[in-house]
Amino acid sequence: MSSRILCAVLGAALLAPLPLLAQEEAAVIPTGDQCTYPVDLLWHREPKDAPATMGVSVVNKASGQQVPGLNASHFAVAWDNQQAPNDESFQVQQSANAFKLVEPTDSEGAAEPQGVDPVNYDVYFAVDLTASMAEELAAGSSDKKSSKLRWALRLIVNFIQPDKQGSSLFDSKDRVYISGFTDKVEAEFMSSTTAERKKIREALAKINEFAPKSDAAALYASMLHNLSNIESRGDQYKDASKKREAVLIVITDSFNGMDLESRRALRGCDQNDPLADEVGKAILKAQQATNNGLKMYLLALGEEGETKRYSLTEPANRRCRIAETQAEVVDGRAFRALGERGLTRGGYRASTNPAELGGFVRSQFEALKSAYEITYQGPEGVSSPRSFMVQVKLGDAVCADEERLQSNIIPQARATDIATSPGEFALFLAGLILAMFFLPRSMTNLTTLGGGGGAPKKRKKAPAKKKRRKKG
Amino acid sequence: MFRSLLVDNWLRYLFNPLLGALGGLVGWALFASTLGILGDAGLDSDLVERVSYFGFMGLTVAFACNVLKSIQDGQGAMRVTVQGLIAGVVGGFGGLLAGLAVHLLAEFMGSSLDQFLPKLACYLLVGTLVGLSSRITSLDRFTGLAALGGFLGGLLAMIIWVVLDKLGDTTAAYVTLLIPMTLGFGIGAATYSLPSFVSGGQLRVLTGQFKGQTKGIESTDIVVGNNKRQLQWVLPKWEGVQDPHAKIEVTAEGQGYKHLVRNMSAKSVVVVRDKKKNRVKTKQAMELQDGDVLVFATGKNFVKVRYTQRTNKE
Repeated sequence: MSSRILCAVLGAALLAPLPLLAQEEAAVIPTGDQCTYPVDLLWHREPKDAPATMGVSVVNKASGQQVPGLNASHFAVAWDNQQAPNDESFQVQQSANAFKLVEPTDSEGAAEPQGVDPVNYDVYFAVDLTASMAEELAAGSSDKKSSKLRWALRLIVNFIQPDKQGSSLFDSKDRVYISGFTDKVEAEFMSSTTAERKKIREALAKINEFAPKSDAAALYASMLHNLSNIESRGDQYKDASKKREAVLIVITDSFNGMDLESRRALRGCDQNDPLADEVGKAILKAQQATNNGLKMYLLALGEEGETKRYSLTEPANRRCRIAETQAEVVDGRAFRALGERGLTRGGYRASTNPAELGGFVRSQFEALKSAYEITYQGPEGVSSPRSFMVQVKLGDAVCADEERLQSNIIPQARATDIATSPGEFALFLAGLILAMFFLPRSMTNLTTLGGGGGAPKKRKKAPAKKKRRKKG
Repeated sequence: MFRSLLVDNWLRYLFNPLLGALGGLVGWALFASTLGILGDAGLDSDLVERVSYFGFMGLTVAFACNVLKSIQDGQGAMRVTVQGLIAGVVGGFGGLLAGLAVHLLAEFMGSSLDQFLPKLACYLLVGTLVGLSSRITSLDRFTGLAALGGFLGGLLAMIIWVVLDKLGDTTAAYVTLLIPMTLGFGIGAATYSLPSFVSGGQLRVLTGQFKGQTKGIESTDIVVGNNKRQLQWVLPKWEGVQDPHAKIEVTAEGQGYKHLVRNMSAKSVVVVRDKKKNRVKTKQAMELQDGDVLVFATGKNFVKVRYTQRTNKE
C-alpha cells in the first residue's frame, strides 16, 4: 500500500511541471514563417555617441510585400531581454535605405532578394482628354509651363520608364493599358494590357496627338470601363501565389459630366451623387472579383476647394452647375469618397503640381518594398548587449525576431567577389610548399654544374710491388 | 626517396616547418569539406564548426610534424605513418579540447571575444595545446618546445589575421587557411629546427648519399644498420653498413650522458680522433669524444659520421 502511495507521489511530482511547461510554450512569441507578418531584424547599430538604430522588415506573408503604415506603437525592442523605452526617442519610419544597410553574409548562398516588390502589376491608366486638359499649367514653383494633358502623359512616362539609376515604378514585367475619356470613353489607343514598351510608347504618342475636346467628362463611365476589364481578368489577380495585382490610375481635372453609359450629359453637381455610389459599388465588386487585388488612385490635376454652391462636406447644392464649378475646383467630395483607402487600397490626391501626384503614388509603392528604420535609446544598465529582439504587434498578430551576437573566433571568408577562391589559393600554396622540398637538392645540384668543384683528383698509383724471384 | 631530399643544405631546416604548414593546409581542407557535408545534411552548428576546425588542425599538424624524424632515420613507410598517426590522433584530441574551450568561451563572452586581446589569448591557447599534444607521445624536452612553437605559431597567426584584415576583405578571406598553416609552421620549426641546438649529442653524415643528414642522440641507444624494420638508424647497405653494424650507447653520467660506440658486426668500425685511427673490435666499445669521426666500413665501402657532444658530464 505504502509503495503505491510512494509511486503516486513520485508520479505527481514528475507530472506537475508539465502544465507549467505547457504555459511557457504558449507564451513563446512566434518567429519567422510561423507568423502572418514575418519580422526580420535586418541590422542594428549601437554608436556610443548617438541613439541606437535598427533595420526591421515586416512582410505580408500572403503577398511578400512590406507592410506599410506601421508606427512606433507597433514595435518593441529589447536588449538582453530588457525592453528599450518606447518614449519620444523611439521613432519608426519606412526607409528606402534600410535594406541597403544589410551586410552581405553569405557569398555563395542564394539570398532572398530584399527591397524588391515581389508583386507584378497590370496598370490601367484612365486619362482625362476633355477640353480643360489643354489648359496651361505651371508645375509647382517652376516657370515651366505645359498643358495639363502633357503633364499627365509625363506622369505616365515617369511611372513606366526607368530613371537614371535604371529603376522604374512599374518595370518591364508589369503590363500597361492606357485609355482616355472625353464625353465618351476613348479606348482606341490600346487593345489590351501589354508589357511591350514599344506599344505603350505608340499609345502615348497617339494620346499626345489627340486634341482635347468636349466640356463634359465621361469620368465615371471610363472608370467603369476599366473596372469591368479588371473584373473580367479577376482570375489572374485572385490567386495570391501568382503575385499579380491590378492598379487603376485615373488622372483628371474634371467633375464627372456624363451618365454611366456616356449617353447623357449632366448639368447639376447633385446628379453625380447617385452615380458616384454606383461607381463605389463597382469598385467593391472589382475588389471581390480580384480578392482585394486592386489598387485605385485618383489623381486630380487641380485644387481642391469650395465655391458658393459647392461644399466638400455638405450635400451638393441644387444650383451647383458642373461646368462652372469644375473650372474652379476639382470634385474633392466625390473623389474623397471614391478614393477612400479602405475601398480602393490606393487613394486620392489633388494638386496643381504633377510631381506631387507622382510622388504620392510612388511613395505608396515604395512603402511596399521599404523596411523600417527604428531609432531608439537602449535600455538602461545594458552597455554591451549580446541579444537584440524586435517584436511587432499588428492587431492580434504578434511576431518577433532575435539576433544573438556570436563570436567570430574562426575567421570567415567574407569577400563575395574574390577572383581566387580559398580552395584555389590553398592548392597554389600546397604546390609551392611541395616545390620547396626539392629546393635544397636543386641548389646542391646547381653547385656541381659544369664539373662541380673542379677537376677530379688524380689517384696516386700505388707503387708496383716488386716481384720476388723464387730462389731456385 | 623523400629522405634523399634532405641533403647537406641549410634549407633542410625548412622541411619540418613546411611539412607543418602543409599539414595545416590539409587540416583546413578537411575542415572545409566536413563542414560542407554537414551543412548539406543540416548538421552544422557553431560547436561543430569550432571543434572540427581546431580538431582537424591538431590532427594534421601533429601528424605532419612527427614524420620527418622517422623519415630521416630511414624508417619504413608503415612505421612512419603509424607513428605520425598516433601523434596525430593525440594532437587531434588536443585540438578538440581547444575547440571545446574556445566554444565555451565564445558562448560565455559572445562577440566580446572578437576583440584583439581575447582573440589573441584564444589562439595562443589553441597553439600551445595543439603544440603540446602533437609531441606529448614522446614526452621529452621537445614536448615543451612544441608547446612553445604552437604558442609562437598562434601569435604569428594572429598577426597575419590582423594584417590581412587591415588590407581588406579580399585578402582576409584567406585567413581561415593561413592560421592552421602558421600554427603548423611554428610547431614544425620548434620540433625539428630548434632542437638540433639543444640535443644531448648529434651524429652528422659526412659522406655518401645522406651527406649532411643529422641524427640527434637523446636518452636511448641508437643502432646503426641498414635494416629499416629493426628500428635502426638506417644508412645505405651499398656504402658498407651492415645489419646491424654498430650501436651508440647512451649512459647517464653526472647531470648529462656519456656516449659509446660498440661494434655489433664483424666489419670495421673506426673512430678517427686527432687524425689517429682507433679500430673498435667486434663486440667491444669505445667512449666517444666531441669531434670524433666514426667510419662504418665493409671492404672499400664506408660511411663517415661526425659525432658532436652537447651534454654536460659534470
